[in-house]
Amino acid sequence: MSNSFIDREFLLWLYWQISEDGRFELEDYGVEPVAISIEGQINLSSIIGEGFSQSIKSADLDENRDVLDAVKAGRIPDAMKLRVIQGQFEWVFSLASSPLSIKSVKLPIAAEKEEQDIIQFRIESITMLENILKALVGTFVLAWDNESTRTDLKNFLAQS
Amino acid sequence: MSKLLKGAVSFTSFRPEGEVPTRERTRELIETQLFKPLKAEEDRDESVGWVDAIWSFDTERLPNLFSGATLLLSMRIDRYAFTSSQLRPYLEEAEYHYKTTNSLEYISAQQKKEIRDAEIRRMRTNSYPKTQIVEVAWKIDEKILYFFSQSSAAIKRFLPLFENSFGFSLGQSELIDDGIASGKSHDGTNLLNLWEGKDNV
Repeated sequence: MSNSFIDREFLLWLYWQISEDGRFELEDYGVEPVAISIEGQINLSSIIGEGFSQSIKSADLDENRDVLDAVKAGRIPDAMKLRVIQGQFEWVFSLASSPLSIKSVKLPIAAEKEEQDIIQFRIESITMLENILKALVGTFVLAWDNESTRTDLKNFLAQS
Repeated sequence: MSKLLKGAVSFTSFRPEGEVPTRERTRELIETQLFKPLKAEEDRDESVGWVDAIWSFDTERLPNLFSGATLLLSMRIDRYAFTSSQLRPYLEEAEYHYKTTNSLEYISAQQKKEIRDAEIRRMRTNSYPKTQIVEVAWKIDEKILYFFSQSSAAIKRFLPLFENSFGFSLGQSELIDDGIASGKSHDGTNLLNLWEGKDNV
């Protein structure tokens, strides 16, 4: 199964969901709820692969008109900078496609003082972030299988 | 400073696919692939091996090898590499002196190679190799390994180093595949079944 296209559909779905309210209930995956926002930057590139790409930077990218216009023009997200908050934990990172990958993660700040405790905390927070992303992918796959989801997304994109 | 302790991180996830040896045996296996510093007079251009996860200069004791149930290491790569531009003035000077000293109009290809090798050796004695250090955290109980780089060149060196040390290979873990494979729908259907054949909606 080739997943390069799914990666980018996932990012488009994620952008839409963040624009809706950015809250994700992930209990079915054993993951605590998270709030996600876009942290100032989104890159979009052509869906037909003719090489055109666009980077949009703004303090408020949720439901941003430039992003919606770019999608309408045939570009979908291929990377986004995200802030994920789960309880007292917060991660800021870039989520890129092809393959879907987490880059340059600012991990939650460790309260621990001992080196070994800091290491354990940082490694555990990486696993937590991976589990959040996997749960989001699972949520996306389930949602994407539903025709009404696609209709709702089309309506959202038609706003521009 | 080690990325295990501070700073933003990029990483690649792997799934170790073999049995984990005892702690004592793990240390013995790692010791077979410890980093050995390059020497200027050696022929090899690159050295790859394990160093301590926190103290990258420590290539023998590895005092931070275990943190709870997590194995911590760093892969160190030292490499001598000179660009053509770096080499050019020294090679031209050496060839000029060789021709002048020996009253020659031309230098044979073999002699040019010997001059080049001698100049590279001389440059190596006057410089440090380029060093790259990549931290590794292996959560043994959870069978997850984090390699703190996404560089394909670094991964290309890491995979054989790991396999030569532990005798088994690593499968790369993909977020999208893992998300699909591990997810379940509300009625308990595995998402992989749901998604099969729908890779290009």
